[in-house]
Amino acid sequence: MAITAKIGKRNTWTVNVGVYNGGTHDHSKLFNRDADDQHPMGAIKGLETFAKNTNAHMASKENPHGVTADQVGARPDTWMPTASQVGAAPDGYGLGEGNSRYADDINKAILPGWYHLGEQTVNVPAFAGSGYILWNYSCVFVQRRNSTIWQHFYTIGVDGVGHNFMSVRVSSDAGTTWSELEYLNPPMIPGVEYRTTERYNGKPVYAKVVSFGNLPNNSSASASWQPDTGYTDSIVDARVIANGNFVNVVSSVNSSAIWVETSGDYSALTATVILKYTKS
Amino acid sequence: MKIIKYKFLSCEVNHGTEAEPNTEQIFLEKTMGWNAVNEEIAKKEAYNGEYTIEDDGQPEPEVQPTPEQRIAELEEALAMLLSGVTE
Repeated sequence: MAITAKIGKRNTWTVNVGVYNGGTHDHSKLFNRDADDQHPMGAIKGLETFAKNTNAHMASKENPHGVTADQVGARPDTWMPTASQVGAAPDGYGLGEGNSRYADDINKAILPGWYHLGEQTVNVPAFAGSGYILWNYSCVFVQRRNSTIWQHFYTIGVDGVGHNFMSVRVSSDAGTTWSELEYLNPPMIPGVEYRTTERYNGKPVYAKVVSFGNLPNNSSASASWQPDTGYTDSIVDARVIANGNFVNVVSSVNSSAIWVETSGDYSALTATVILKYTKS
Repeated sequence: MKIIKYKFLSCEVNHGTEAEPNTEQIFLEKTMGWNAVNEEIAKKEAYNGEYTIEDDGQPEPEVQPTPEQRIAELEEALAMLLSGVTE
């Protein structure tokens, strides 16, 4: 049986809404209808598909409407954050990079990070025995707390192996003035005086190797020596290495001479004396 | 006491760079008690072979006995002591 519904104020439109086979079209019987009068969902064409598609759409995370980042206030996929926006180290300071930042003026390397030196770097501190250093392979690590700045130098020697050593200096006025350079592991080139990070009685300990020449035959011998600058205060240590061996022959050391005493023929041995001392 | 005095080249230090070296020669004064072996060292080490032998005004050091000489002295003293006891 065809159902014809008339809609509109003046019943001017007529629409056929389908064919209803059986049951009733009396809506006073919407409740407690018998089986013949029921309207199962499956009987409505396309409704299940519609519901399924609606659920799938609601669950989709694939941005089915093509909403842009700008529409939702998000950053575009071309956005490149700055170091400060993600709390990272500043660009160009050598952290996480293959090469550190070149320091053309070492006195301006005052922000934390890694720098490297070159032959043209100016204001490089006075490195003792600087002729033994390859500047192009040396670098500096800078640490800072307010106006106190530490510069740690990692220096490569000319032989690339044996003269790799570390030294440090500090500024307490934001880099205006600097302390003397102090060596953690001085290369101990004979004849060169090094100020070290060691302390004796609160004073910096200096180190120097004196080439003594051949040891004497069953007698005493002395060789003159002096610090590169200033005057000695205390002789902290004196050891003799002769032909690669430690020999206990030092009898005394003062500010100007090293005395050794041998009780046999040591004349075949060539000695170097390792001195450590403070200055007045 | 006779001593030997001379100046010798202790070492050379480069204060420049590898490309432009600025080498300093460091000379030290050395003094040793004289004996023939030490004089040979002086001939070899002294700058330009120049060394002097001087008397420093101090007495010659006593020659220390060798361990064998010292043992012989002790044995002799012990023998004398024992002979006195037995007489």
